[in-house]
Amino acid sequence: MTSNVTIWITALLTLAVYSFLIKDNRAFRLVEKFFVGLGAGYFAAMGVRNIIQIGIRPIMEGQLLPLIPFILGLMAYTRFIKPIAWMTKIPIALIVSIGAALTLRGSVQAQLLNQARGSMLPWTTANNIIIALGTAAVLSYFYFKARSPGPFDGVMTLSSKVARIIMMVAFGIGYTGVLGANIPRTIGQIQLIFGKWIHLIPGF
Amino acid sequence: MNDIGKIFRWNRLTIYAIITLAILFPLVRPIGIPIPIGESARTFYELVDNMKPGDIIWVDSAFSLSAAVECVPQLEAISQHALKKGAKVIMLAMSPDGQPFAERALAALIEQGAVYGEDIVYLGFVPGEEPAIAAMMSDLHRAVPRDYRGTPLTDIPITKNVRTGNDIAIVVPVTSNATAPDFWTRQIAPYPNTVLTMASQASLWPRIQPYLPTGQIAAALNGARGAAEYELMIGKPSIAVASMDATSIAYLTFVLFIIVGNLAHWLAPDKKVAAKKDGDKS
Amino acid sequence: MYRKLPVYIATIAGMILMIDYFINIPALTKVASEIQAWTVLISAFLLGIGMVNLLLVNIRGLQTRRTDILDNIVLIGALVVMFVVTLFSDQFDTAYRWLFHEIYAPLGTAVFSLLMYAMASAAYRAIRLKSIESTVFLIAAVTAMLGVAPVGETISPQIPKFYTWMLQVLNMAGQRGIIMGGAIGAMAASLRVLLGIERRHIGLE
Repeated sequence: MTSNVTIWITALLTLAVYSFLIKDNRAFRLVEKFFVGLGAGYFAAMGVRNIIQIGIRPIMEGQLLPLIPFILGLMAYTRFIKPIAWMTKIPIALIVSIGAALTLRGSVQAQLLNQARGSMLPWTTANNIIIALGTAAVLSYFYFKARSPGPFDGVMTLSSKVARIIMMVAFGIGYTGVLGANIPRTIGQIQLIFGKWIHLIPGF
Repeated sequence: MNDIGKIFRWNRLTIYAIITLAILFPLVRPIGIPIPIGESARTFYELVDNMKPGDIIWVDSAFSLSAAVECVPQLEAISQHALKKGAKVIMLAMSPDGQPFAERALAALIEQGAVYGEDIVYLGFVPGEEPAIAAMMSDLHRAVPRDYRGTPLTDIPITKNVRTGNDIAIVVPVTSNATAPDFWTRQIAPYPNTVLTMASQASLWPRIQPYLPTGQIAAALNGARGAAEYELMIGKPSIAVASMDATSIAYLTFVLFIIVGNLAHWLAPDKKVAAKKDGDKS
Repeated sequence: MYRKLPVYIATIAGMILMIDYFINIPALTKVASEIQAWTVLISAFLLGIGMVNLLLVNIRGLQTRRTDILDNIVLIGALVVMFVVTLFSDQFDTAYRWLFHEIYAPLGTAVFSLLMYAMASAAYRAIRLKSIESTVFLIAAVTAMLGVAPVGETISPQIPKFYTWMLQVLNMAGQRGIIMGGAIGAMAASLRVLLGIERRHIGLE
């Protein structure tokens, strides 16, 4: 076992987290609170450093334009002061609106036209046909699933079944993608416990 | 009737123990399973390998803490490779969690001989996601006037002439954000000469696929596997390569769980009894 | 008037960005660029709101004793220490690096790695050969696992080939449909925000 105090601390904290796998317990909840506190403090400090760097510093150097976003940013904190809490909506509305404008500007080309063009492949191979019809089926599943009876019911029902199969493939691959993101984390923790702490794994 | 399904009915602690041991075994006794290089990783490598001295590569450390295990090896491998080709690296962190890892990568590159300001520059943490990307790509000096040390970008050799996305050869977001493929493709579209790539957490891999054949994303790295492939291609196998045996065995164990779970379900003498027992054991 | 002020400001800013996209007026481009740059500073302010909120909730908890005191003290203590050390990271360089790389990062990885165990349990209990859809899901998941793992190619070179086909054909069709459908929805929602019709995000109906 290691004599490094840091590794002991990290290993014990990790074991406290993993104790949740057996049962929810006090140690896990305390460590959870500890982690949340660290994260919140870290994020806030990063924000303050940024505010100093790109807000306060230019203003102190005589630039006036940064005053506007600086005041808008301060308004976000009026949510904690009841009489003027309505002001907090201004910076939030602004950010959401800017995001909406950027999404609207860019989505047409990036997400619609380019993707539609990418699906409209010449039907010279089976893959191209599957991609074209599959994309259309999935799109129509979302937009026409709830519909009144009509002359194309049979086609729509078949399209709906095809869309569900295709989406199940996508979800199955997505499940493995999420798994692929989680396995390395667990490997890292096992290397910490059994490698750095207990020295069971060679090379640590 | 004998309940032959009994041997397949495992409680959750048994499952946890099996997967833990399955991951531990190849770490204690490495197997050496070969790691084939995929097409996308190879394309990514060639894109960076074909960079000319002086070309600008934009490396964004935009991952969350949980994705650090996969993304840090990608960040380090790509930055090392780009510097070796003589490219100039503009590094930044668009997530707070990515910031310290970017700083650590920067320190390591400087230790390996990179000159700050001439080979690499670090803009620090830049919040704001898509609007911030739009701002930086349209007018970098206005959006981020100074680097992480407070030096004006106009005074730094690498960045003094980098004003917009048009001045950047390759953009590499190293990210775990699920919407990153969408908003990066939107914001790079106005700069057709800028090549967008993506080095991401494995969970983004299926989402990136539609953008590859359209060329909106030129190449991508798939999580830890992609990082391992890249490390092998640059000749510096490191953390990602070391974890691949354990990754393989973990996946095989998951396949085993699916098979055994189905056997337990279908061989149960009375499915209601089996379901009740499963519920008790958990 | 003041209730609608956020809507007016937001609509004007959004419209400036939209008009700038379609019509090339240098003065308007400058204004649009400036507005976009503001988001960096405003976003920096928004990062601290979580901390302030957490502090207020936990200080209130300490005062009213409705939650466990130790929980509150641990959270507030961790928050304050991390905040100070990070803010003054130049002076507390060693402490900052130690706290982040040796405590916060491994702890965060451990917390998120619990998900793998939950997924192991889900793989055993929930991925079933029951209906056509669940069978397709099972086949896709198993193929993907063997296709991504380096060992898949060792078992059979056909596995990664089949996985690649599933990824680049079937998954492509599914993801494209989702992307395009999502984009149409996002565009409609964005238009509603820009026109001031959608106001729920600022607490107005």
